[in-house]
Amino acid sequence: MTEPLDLSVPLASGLTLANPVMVAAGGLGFGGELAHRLDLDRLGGLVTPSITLGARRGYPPPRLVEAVAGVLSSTGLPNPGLAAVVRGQAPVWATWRLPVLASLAGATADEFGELAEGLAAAPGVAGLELNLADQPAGGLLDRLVPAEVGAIVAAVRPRAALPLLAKLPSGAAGLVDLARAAVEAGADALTIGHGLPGLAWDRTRRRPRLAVGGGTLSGPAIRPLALRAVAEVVAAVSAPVVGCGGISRGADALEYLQAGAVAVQVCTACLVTPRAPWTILEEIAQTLAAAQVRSLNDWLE
Amino acid sequence: MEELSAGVVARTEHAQATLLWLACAAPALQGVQPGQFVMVRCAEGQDPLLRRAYSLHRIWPSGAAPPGAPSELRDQAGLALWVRPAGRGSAWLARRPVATPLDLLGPLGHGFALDADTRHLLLLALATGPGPLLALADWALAREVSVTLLAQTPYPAELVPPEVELISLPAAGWEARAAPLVAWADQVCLSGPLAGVSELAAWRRRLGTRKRFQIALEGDVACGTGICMGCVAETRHGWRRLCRDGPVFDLRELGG
Repeated sequence: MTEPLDLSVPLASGLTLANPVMVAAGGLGFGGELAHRLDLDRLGGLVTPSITLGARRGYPPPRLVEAVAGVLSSTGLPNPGLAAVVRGQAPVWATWRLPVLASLAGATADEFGELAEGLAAAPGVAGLELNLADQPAGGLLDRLVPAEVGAIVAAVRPRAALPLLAKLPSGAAGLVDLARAAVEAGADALTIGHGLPGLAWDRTRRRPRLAVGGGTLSGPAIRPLALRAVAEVVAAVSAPVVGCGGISRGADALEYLQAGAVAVQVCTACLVTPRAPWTILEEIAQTLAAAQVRSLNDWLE
Repeated sequence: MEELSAGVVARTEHAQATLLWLACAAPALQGVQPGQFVMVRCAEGQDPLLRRAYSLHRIWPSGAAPPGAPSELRDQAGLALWVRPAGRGSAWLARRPVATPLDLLGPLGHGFALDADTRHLLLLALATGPGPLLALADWALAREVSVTLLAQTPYPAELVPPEVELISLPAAGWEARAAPLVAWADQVCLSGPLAGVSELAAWRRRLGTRKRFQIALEGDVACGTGICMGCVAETRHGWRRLCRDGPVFDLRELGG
């Protein structure tokens, strides 16, 4: 009898993923709407859409437009808010084997701490991911400096005894310094990254196509840029790095893993085909089976 | 969000659009409502990236193909997509050759609901085309409802069931032509772009009618499953997603 492939990856103390394929924040929502149609438990993990203290309606439309091999979006983090998520979503996550990581978006370090405490007390939350790239009311990205990143992580760390990931934007200036600051302040792992800032223009109306002006570019268009950012951070910090950016095929994911990421997150590909993470996982398994190795580690060595 | 297996069996060319006729397994179409839509991959590679949303222009069970359907579909269940080349995705789709499988997600969203006591149904297709209204006409006729279709852009008469009264509307002043027919109808169903919905809502208010108006909204839909939160429209109850909460809305929800 053939032994099953061992695709497991340790992400943090107390959190080992069954495989390296995760759904990025927003890729499949809170999971519940699709849980009855998709076998979520087969994936490595799911990161929720970013949760804020209060409910947010999000920005007016247009919120999302297509770019060349990509998507430019600025949704304004619509979500029902901390209390509604803890009451309505977390009990559902507690029934899954799939590790669910709650993405937090605070406007201040204190808000991040309050969100972390609220979610750490909820059932079904396996870890936290701090969204340091896409904040409500804007602003934070402009002052994304190592001291601020360190302050946010330090505010969260004592209030939540859960694996803690800090998500940083691939295109941030001084990304490596930001990554070091997050790890020194207590982050267990890093997610690199978030899409890149972009702008789409409406020539007829002589204004940006998105209602709020600029947005975040994601999808295959950014993959080489995001992969480079991951490789740079992997070379500079010892904490595990989760790679994110334009992954839509198993081969894309394997490139990130060879570049040093311990796991990958899939986002925009889910908007095209919700089953994309499962297809990516199957393609990884096929590649490893063809190489006649018994584990992901064996294949990577 | 189900993946739907369908292949292009035939294509017919019309002045405004290409009609793609697809064969489907009959169980896949059970319970499908006119007004629901599918998301279609419109590229072989990664650009254009996003699927395109298409309303189900015609839907039929095995043995009930609509007028104009190619003979090879007479004994099969299927659906038809009205593809008006307007951009890279639709131009790619309109060129799909016969015997090509399509990558579809769907049927998605909420469709039209006919009231139980509706006997006269008025359909109003605005400038962007008939959308799902022919499928709704087929559905209504099967329930012995009389149907009048008002079309702002010419629609091929050979595709319209003979029981349906087809009336062309002028681009300007169409409201005056439509008003008497609203008086005749028990229920009004429309298809049109999100951008024009406030004018339609204002028109309904001016008519002073209490009759139910439902509209299938056309707008940019990115994922089709409600996840991306991109395709929102303002309603009386806040932002609602076209793909998940619609695309068919009661016009009163939109201010009418």
